[in-house]
Amino acid sequence: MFKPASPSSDSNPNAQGAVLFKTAVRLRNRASSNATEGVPWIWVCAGALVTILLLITALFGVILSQGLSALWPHAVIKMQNDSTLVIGIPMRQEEGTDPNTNTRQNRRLIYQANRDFGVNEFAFVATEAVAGAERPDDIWFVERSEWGPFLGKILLLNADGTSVSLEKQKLTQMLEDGAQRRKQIHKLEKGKLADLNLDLEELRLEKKKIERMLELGRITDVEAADNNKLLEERFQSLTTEHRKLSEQVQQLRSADEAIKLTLAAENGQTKELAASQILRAFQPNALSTFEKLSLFIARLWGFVSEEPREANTEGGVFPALFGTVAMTIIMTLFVLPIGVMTAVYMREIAKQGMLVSLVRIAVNNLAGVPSIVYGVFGVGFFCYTVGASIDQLLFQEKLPNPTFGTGGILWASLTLALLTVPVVIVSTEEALSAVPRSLREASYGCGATRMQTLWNIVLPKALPGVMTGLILAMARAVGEVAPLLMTGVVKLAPALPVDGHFPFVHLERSFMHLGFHIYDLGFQSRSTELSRPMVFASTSLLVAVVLSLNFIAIKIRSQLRKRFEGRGAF
Amino acid sequence: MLNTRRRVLILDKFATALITVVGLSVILAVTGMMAFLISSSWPLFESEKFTAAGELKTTGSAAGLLVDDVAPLAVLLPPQSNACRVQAQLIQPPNQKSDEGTAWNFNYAVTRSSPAGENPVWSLNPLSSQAAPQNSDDTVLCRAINNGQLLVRTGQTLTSASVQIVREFLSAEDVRALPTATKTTLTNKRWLVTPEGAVLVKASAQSPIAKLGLQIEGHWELPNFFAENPKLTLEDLNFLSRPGKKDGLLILRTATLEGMAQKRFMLLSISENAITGEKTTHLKQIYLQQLTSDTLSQSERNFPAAWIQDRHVVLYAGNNSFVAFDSEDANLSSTSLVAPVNLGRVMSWTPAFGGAAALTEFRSEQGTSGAQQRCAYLDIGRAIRLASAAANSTSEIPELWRDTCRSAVRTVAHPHKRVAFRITQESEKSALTLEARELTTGRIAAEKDLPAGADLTLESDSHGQLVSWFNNTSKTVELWRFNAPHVEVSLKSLFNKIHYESYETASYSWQSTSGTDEFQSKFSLVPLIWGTFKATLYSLLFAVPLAIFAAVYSSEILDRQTRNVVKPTLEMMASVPSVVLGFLAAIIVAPWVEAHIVSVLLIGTSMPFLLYVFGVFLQIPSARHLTTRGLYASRRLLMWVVLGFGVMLWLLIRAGLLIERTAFGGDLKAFLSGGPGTEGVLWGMLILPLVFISLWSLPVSRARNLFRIAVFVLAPVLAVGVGSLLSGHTELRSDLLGQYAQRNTLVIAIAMGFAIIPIIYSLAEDALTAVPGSLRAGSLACGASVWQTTARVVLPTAASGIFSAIMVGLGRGIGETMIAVMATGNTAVMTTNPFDGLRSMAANIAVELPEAAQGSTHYRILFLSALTLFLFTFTLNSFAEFLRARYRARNKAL
Repeated sequence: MFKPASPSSDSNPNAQGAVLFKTAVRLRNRASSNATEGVPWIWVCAGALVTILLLITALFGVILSQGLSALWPHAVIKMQNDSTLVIGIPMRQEEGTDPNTNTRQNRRLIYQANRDFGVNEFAFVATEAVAGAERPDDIWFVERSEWGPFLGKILLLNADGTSVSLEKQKLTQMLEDGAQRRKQIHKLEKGKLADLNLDLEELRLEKKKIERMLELGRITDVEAADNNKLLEERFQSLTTEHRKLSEQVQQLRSADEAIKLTLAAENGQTKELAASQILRAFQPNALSTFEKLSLFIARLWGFVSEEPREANTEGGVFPALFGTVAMTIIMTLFVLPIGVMTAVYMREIAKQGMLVSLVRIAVNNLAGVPSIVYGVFGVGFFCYTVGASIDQLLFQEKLPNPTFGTGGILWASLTLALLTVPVVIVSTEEALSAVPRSLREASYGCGATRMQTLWNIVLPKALPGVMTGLILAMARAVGEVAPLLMTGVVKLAPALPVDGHFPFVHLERSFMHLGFHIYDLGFQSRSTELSRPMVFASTSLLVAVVLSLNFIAIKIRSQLRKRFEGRGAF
Repeated sequence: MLNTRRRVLILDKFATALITVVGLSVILAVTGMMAFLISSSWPLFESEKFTAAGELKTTGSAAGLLVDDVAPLAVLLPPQSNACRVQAQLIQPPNQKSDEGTAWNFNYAVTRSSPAGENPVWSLNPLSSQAAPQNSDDTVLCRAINNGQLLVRTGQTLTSASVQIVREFLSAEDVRALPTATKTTLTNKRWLVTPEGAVLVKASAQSPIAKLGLQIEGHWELPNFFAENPKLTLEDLNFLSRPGKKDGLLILRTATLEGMAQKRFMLLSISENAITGEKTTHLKQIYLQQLTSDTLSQSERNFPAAWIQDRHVVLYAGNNSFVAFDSEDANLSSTSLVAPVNLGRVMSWTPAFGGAAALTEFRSEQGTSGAQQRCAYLDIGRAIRLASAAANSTSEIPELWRDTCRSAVRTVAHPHKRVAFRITQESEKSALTLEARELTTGRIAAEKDLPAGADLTLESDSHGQLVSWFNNTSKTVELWRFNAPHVEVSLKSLFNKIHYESYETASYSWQSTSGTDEFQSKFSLVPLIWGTFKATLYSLLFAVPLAIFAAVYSSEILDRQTRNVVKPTLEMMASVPSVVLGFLAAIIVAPWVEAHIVSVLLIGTSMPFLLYVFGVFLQIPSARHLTTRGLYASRRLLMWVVLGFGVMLWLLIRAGLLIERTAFGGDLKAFLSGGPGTEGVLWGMLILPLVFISLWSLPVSRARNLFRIAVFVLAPVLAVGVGSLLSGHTELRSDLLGQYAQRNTLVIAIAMGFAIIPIIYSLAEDALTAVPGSLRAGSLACGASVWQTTARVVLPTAASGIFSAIMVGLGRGIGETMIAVMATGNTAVMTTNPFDGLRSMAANIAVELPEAAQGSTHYRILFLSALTLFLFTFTLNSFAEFLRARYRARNKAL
């Protein structure tokens, strides 16, 4: 057998040649006797590759189909199952045991919605029965702001308490008006009113600060009184404004409450609600394919742009998406300059020797250190050490409530920056070393300094490599969840990390994240079945973001390769 | 011109400096990570010490002592049968100036007034500290027993009362209401005494103001006790309060009782507190025939006893034996007592009455002979742990540690902190040593020598942090701080089997938190490390063959065009976030595997050789195609494989369901947990590949193809046959496998395998591609087939590179967090069973760190496990990197 690893063959080329020759002869003899030897192994190898490819296909197939079907308007069926009336959307099929007959059968899960109408949200029905079920056109699918979706009829509630059916056109008009009012109220509450609340909180803190200064003897009683008076005046004016706004909102609300509709479920139960509480209503069985498609797009947009409702199981993922993007951008701001500078230092400035190659190996290895370890470091160092010191220095009036001394978007970004900086360093270094030496020499020859060469010649050449590294780092950061668990991600953040309130970017705030959203919904929510569509939709979104980032990186890299192959003659 | 030049130069210098600084600091920061992890987990292993916290010269003498941990307040309780006085003094911290605030030194007389028809009222009346005790009610006698408890005699009545230090922190309003003078005093000095006699303490500039005071409370009384037992004095009595209740066990030292020299008796005093709040005191006498007085040594004569789970009592009965009884047994008599428990040798015993001795468990067990065996698991002051069966049993006594034969003079134990402070002595005359014992492992955390011959009273605060003693010879109270926040952690407790409370045997266990304070945290890293490696190894079992075979195929056989699509696709797979994989594993894979468990096992064992066989039947016996990559390089082969693969997969799934229905009654899970089924089939499924391959490779010369077709029928039959034989020898389900949990190792093996495959594939593919083409060309030119070249030339050459790829994969598996959190069930069990859940280190950190209090033992142990993970992966990666570097260097030489 051919053994390149044996020391004798390494040290003695003649011996190596002899071994090679002997092996060749032996193989040849065998080959003639059994030329097909090992062919089945090729099948095994191919089988392995096929297994992996099939797994990938299955993975993406499942994610994509489940994710998209979560937003697609599905048909509603109506049927009699034993003695109960089943109205709902057929979901997945599974093999289960029928509790009555105790036989195994194929059955389908039917989502019946109407949580507040005394109906089980989910029911199992034999698969054959579903196929023959009736699909009435007049059933509405209603997305509400509370209590989850509703399936049934929408009636107009008259002033005398009677309900009558109403035309589709009129209903659409009513819902549109309701949406207008809802938006108006929302704008006031989340805009001006929220701002006022923040201002009031700031005043309270300022007051506390004065008290503390007085206690420490840094200001005199007179100064404190003056300051307090000023604060009191501002406080008065703000409270008045607050009251005014609150009243305005209250008026709008009561006006809105007056316009009511009745939801009537097929089981006879009814429920009144304000027209503005209906977010979207459609008759799924009456929709044409084009209408379904446009509805799908509208829901997709809603998914990306709306805030979550009902403990994250409905609505959109906008805050999570926003948090993910914001965190990644902040991380990029750290990772790009630092990573590039380090790579430049290691490749262009430091003396190449034992130490630098050791550091290089260490940096390489750090890319393989588990992300959770970075998380532990992040919480211990950034939150509890650096953050706590910042609090002591700058935010003493808020203590013992931590400001920076707990998880927040800045610390999460920094932790991820540390996690991904090796990726940027390695790829930048590779790109720098791929820049031909001749280019540098030409530049020096023209009298350029080292920095001029670096800035004008080397870095532009290496830019695609740097970009590749950066994008890969971003892709990793977007998908990483473990270190975030402890450095500031939350299930439901009260406010976005960036908003219109001074200083606009709130680095200390905790944030929502798509990956954590998936973990939380898929793993810790009230009902796995209920949150399933949302998790799959979020998963598709996350996978789409990560894969497109990777795809871009791969494209840039192949472009880069071509470019250097083309100009290799330098 | 010159200007610009200088600017450029300055810029150049500046930029270089900036880059250097940033570069160096990043390198420093990155290496600093390890340093930070070490520094965060280091306090766990710091050796504990006693540090001096104060000393107090006093005039009184004391048998009892109370100390408070916020302010160094010492309360001295009266020694034996004195007039009832309580003395409270502040202890001077060692580094304080002497005249900080008024010294607080007050004597109180304990008085008890009993208005007619009402419960007696207890109070502490301040006496002038200078004046000798006078006008006081000297008819009240009392003696301290432990922890502030007093036994009081007024006339013929025996009562129990306890003195406590009450501490409250002043609210912001209270502080504002204080006079300005007081506030000023408190900013300059640490304490002051208010006119009302309370003490205000401000321990440091940051801390809130605490108000300290004393409180006395009566518990029970026996009106005519001394009239009925005229021979007894307070000295002969002891009281052991029942944990959490006011009542308890009144113990009499009977050596002084005439005519009772051979029999001691004790009284059980239970004051029932019914819904009405009415107290009835009930005394019950029990004669212990078994006890003999003359065998007891001086300290034993104190009659050590302890409560177990506030119902049973265990007494030391002399002669190295104990008696135990049920206090709620109405007909309790000498004969109904548990037979004396013979403990063999008693190493040392806590003579202090009450509190010090704590027995953890007492239970009755059904013996093998069917007779009731009563076992007392004794935890004597948690100083020595002994377990013993009843007298008629010969079972051995496991002892945790008996490294010291020193007898304890005094012991204070803290059940929650699991620390005992003991003053021990080698022999009667030798020096005294104060030791702090960690009670779970028996480690001596700290030791300190004490002056010889001193008569000491030992006391400790409720947190097990301050220990103080009163030296009756020199009349000083000494206060020492035992600051050991992580005393329960040592290398032994992290990595050895530990005998935890209420556990039958020593075990590895991880159970960090629970609802109650009394809960004993169990921090053994072993189950976590086990879980980590179990998950990783099972997933490597799944990932390595797939990834390496796939890498071989795509580097050696696949055509370039297809490869350029396949490789990036697989690398893309590496970037799928692990939270997505974990989620899919939990939601899709776990239920599917649960429903098709037999099929999964069958696919795992049969798929590889079925593919091989598939290849044998479909191979084209034309040597012309085989010597080049030709046919097998094309995508056509892949298509064929996909087709065959699909058919096989479908067949195996069906076969699995069929087997499950016929051999395991339709439910393998039920079979695994003891339901009906055929063990032989399970064995057969596992050994099927072996049987198949051995049959297949039998040297049959005639009708070879026919024989090989027959193997398909023969192999399963033979496998089940052999399996049945084996099952007689080893029962698979109970010995190797076990109960089925929905989220189990099999599921994580698939999900984590998915994360590892692209990594191993990519690196192995690179290693294979890096093998010089000349080697391949040489081999092919000699007439070797493609596979011969691959298996005997390319693979051995690339072996080290492939090995390094596996190492990197291993590293990734060890650190994988989200998949482990979501797909494993997170149960910290140590089994090899693939159907069991597990808890990996990374998952454990992710689950527990967000809830761990900063700086706590739990928090630091999590840091330690992060450090362990870091070191594991860093070492693995460095080793892999080293291998790769050597491999590259060698390839260059070839």
